[in-house]
Amino acid sequence: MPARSEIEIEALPEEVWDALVDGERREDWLQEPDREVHIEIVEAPSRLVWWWGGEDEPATRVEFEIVAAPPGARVIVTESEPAAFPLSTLAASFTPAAAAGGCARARSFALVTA
Amino acid sequence: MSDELGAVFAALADPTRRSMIEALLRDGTTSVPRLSADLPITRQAVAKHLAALDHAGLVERAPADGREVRYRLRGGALVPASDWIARTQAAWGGRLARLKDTVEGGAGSSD
Repeated sequence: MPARSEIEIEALPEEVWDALVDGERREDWLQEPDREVHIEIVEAPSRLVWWWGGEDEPATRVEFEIVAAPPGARVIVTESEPAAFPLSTLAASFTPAAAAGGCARARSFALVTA
Repeated sequence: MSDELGAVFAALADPTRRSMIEALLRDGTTSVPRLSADLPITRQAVAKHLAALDHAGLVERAPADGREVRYRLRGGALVPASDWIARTQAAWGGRLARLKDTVEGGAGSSD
């Protein structure tokens, strides 16, 4: 039972994408300075997935889909229900060792300070 | 967001456990023999899933009725989960509106 929200934006998907992945621009609209964002999947300009959570909060997974919807773009965001473990546990599973273990998604892991 | 809420969602993430919750919503109470007759899993597996639901605070033992141990939904157990969804969707509504302003060039910073 994920939470879901969407919006139409009068701009190209590429322009929306820039505002999602550029750290400084993201801060402007996200306004969540206390949450750490861990990018998991980057498929420009149509799909971005991150995990995030506060210090003592269980992590949740946020997925953005950007679809061309002339004359602009539609952005659909889905946030997964909280997993039963905190972000620190999750981050530990994204170590290089885990990536070497053959998890394709783990290889695309990058730490981004929100 | 509490660990308790995380445990509720973890319990609900499993399709077998969701069908157990659905059965309870439909029938009011249930039991291990009843569930194992309805679901394609063993009694041991049913008992394990019920224990997980119990641990998450979603079900409890109903007052004994004869020999059989029966279970029922714990009142209000699903409220925190639906509250989380409502709160999270409202938060994303605000963030996406700001994203739209940013991208469409509504220059004035919205603090």
